[in-house]
Amino acid sequence: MSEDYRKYLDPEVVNKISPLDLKARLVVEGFISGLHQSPYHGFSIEFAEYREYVPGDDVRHIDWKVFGKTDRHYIKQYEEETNLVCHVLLDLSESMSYGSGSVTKRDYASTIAAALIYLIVQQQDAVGLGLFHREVKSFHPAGSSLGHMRKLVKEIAEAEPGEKTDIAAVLQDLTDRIRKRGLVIVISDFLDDPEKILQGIQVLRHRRHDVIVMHVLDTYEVEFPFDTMTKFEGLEGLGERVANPRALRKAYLAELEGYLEKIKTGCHAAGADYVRMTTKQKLDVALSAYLATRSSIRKAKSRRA
Amino acid sequence: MGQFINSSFLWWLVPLIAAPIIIHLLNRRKHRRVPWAAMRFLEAAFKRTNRRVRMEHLILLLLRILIMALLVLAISRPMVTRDSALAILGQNKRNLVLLVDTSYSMTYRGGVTETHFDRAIDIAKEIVTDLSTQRGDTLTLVSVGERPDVLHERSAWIERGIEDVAMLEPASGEADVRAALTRVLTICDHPEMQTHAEVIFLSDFQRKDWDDGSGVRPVDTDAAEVADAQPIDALASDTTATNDADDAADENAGPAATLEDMLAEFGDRRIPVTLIDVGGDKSWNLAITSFETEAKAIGIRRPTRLSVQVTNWGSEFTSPSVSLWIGEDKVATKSVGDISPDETKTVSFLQTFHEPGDVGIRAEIDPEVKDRLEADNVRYRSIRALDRVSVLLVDGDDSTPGQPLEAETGFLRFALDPYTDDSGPTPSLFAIDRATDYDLALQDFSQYDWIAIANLYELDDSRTRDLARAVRSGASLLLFVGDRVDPARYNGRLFGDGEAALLPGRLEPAERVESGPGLEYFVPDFNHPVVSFFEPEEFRPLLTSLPKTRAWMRYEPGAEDTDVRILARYGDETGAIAICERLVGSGRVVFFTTTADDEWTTLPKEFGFVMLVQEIGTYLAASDPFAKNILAGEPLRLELPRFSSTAWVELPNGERRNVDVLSPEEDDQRYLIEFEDTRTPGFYSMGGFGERGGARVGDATSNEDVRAVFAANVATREGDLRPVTAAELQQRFPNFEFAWKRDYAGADDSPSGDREGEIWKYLLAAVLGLLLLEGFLAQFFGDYSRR
Repeated sequence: MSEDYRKYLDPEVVNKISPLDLKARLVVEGFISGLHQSPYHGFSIEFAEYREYVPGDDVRHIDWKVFGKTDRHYIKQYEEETNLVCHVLLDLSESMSYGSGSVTKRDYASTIAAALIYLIVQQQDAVGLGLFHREVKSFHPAGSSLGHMRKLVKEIAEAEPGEKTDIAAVLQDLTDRIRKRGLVIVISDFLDDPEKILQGIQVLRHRRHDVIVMHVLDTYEVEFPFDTMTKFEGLEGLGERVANPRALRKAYLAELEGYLEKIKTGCHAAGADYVRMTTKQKLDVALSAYLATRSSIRKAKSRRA
Repeated sequence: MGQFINSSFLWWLVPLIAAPIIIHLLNRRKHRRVPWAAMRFLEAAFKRTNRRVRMEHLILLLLRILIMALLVLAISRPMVTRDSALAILGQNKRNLVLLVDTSYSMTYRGGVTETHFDRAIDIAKEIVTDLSTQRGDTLTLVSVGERPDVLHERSAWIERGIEDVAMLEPASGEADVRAALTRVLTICDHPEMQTHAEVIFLSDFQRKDWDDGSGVRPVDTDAAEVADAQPIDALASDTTATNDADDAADENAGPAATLEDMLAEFGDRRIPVTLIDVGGDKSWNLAITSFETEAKAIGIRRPTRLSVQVTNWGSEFTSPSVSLWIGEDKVATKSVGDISPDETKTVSFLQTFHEPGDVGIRAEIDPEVKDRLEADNVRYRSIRALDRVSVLLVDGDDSTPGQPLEAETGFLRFALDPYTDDSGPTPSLFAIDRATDYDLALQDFSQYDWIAIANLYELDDSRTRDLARAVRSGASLLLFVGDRVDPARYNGRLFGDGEAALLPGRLEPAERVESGPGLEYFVPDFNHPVVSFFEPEEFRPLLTSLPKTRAWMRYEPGAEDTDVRILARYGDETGAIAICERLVGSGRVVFFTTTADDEWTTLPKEFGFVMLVQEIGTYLAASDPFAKNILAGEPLRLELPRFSSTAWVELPNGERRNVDVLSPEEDDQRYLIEFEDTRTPGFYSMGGFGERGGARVGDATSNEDVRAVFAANVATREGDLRPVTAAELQQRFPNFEFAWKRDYAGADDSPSGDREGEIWKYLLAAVLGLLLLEGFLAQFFGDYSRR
């Protein structure tokens, strides 16, 4: 059974499933089932107090021992679920619609965004969503209900692709909108000026948010495997260029490497986690990154407490 | 750089140079479209690499253009001249055409034992040894004899060339320089020979070989073919043997290029010619230049005069003697007396033959005489001794049988056998039977050597067929007309394309001169054996002015009928034919357009008639469809009367070889045997078992074995050793560029020494190098896929 779910971590497989919420659920199920063999196996959420069950709560959290003693339904409440507020910021710019195979960056990014939302809500945390391209397209403050979750996923699925990216301005805007300090996950291809990108990250960090930068790139963008004369038609109105890719490849890869290194170094310097992923990679990379960051946040909180 | 050998390929230069540019431009136009997000890196990479990539493309493009240009140049095969900066690259390849004179004059002993030919072979070996296989030299070896033979054409196998030179042998013929040079020019037409061709000719350079007159043999015509094409000449030559091939060849000289034109062509085509003279200045050579019988037909038991002509081709007086040999027996020796240089003397032998059949006789100069060229000291002759000549006279008008001279054939009979009472010095050669049109049906025509028909009204169909068959298989016919002859009936049976067509032309009704004594005869050509007797002025009137003809039947042979030869015409303005001869199969028809008696002409009453009939009679009797006296190298041919499974030929050295009998064609009942390898002079016997051996060939007494003797002789002209000098050649052929040498002084002496060289190999090597460089650079520049 667990193996069956794990196949949904493959972006190619999961992309064939149409409803994004189902996608998200399958990815998370696949991810969780994989955890039994993973280093994250021991993770748990620390018990805080009991709260009387109200309809809508997950029945799995009912403490049956207490029920046995008291004949009343109590559910366990955990310390973090009320503490962690997470915002997923998803880039919808035109460049995200590029995909060398069947999975575009947008598909991939949407799937991991939905899966993260699903996972976060499953963990009783609150999650908010910001969609942006050149400007913020929509923003939903954090919530933790299943209804809220469905709304966010629907929003992602139905969002129209946007135009150019202006990530610095957008992050400034979104930073202003996120009231409560928490975890911010930015999912984008970050095809913009690195300085601006890092500037946006730093703004988030100044507001003392924990930041995970999820950098989604297409495999072709990373490998540049073209070998015949090609006319490259730039997305986001970046013009076009006829070139012999074989002659360009080395220089292109050097340029890309420099850029990626700059982003990565910048993120680390700003104290943000940086996760690079390509559209061919399994989707659990994003979820693992999230859990790892969440764990470190919790530990840091415990230390502060 | 000088000229190009394949200059036509230069036209490819522009399109092939344009090809890489066009391909480059087309490649730029041909691309696929890809939407692309990461344009910022692409643009940055493009800016960074654009200049370098352009430079790389330019370098590759130039390299490819250069490769194409060099390839075209290499294929065009440029030459570099000696003064060119590239001269050091030029390869002086040699395409040598080596001609070696193999005529028998080269067997002249110039040294104690060494002949001119030995010396020529030594020099030829040296020349060939100097060729280089590595350099790509080629050798063409031509033996210059009666029929120039290319032994080794454009071969790079030099070792084999040396072996071929060593295997050359002197032949019995004379050198046909013009035919050889024609072959050389043809060989030089080959594209391989367009450059570096050079010609070296080793010879004794006899003056007669460089005679550009009518005596030069035509191109690609050998004597055998000439004999076939000109049967009358060839057969007539049985009595004038030695020069038959030359005469026939002369008539065929035709429009072939003159020697002067050919020699000039070597200069025009820039083919250097070196003539190496291996002959000497002085010469001692006696030669038998003619060996003839006086009579046309030789009867047995009667003396026959044989005359031998000896010529001193040398430069000293000498006094030779000549021996006559019959078989292995020397029967007589006679002194010729003193002969000064260039003088010819004749000695005669009177010889009686006792057995009928073919006999081989030879005349030989006494070996004691100082002579350094022995090949022409002996001359062979095949003669046919006849027992009797069977003649049938058919009298078309026998109204007066009792009076011999009144009969239609009475004068003929008298002329053939004047001494009917045997009071003559020798019995007549002719055994005469007479027939009339009444008993004609009983005659077997095939029993007679020749048949005369005079003033016969007509022959029926079956007799016509029998007569034609007899003539075709070798008998001869003498035909006279007269008042009983019906031209329509004659034309119906004897004229046309059928098997029985014996008449040389369509016969017209008789014409007459009403007044005056009649027409005289006119002989257009006294060379024919029948009329040659009348050539001397004192005998000429006997035929031409004394006889007068009052009536005749006119006819004209077809213009293309080469089998017909006119012997005499009437001396009026129309020039109607009086006597003519036509070949029919293996036989002959001699046709008189007037009567055999004195009805229409006074000829039978004239003394000349006896001479004429005797000449015709012996000519017809001696006529042999196969040339028995040939030049060495000409083929032997003999007809067998029926199929023989054991045809053979016996060579001069006594060796006997079997030969195949050629099956006859459908309408031809003749079985032929042929033999071609007659290079050695001497007697050849040929034969097979046949039923009717005696009548046409060989031994008349044997009824089983057909045996014919052939005599093969060297060409007499070749004995004339007088050499031509370089100055004479230059004077005679002013446009002929040649180097004259008495010896060979090594490869540096070769005329190719200052020739242009080729550099195509270097160009191809450069193309190969550039191709490798282009491949490497393309790889290095990332222009090739690195999957």
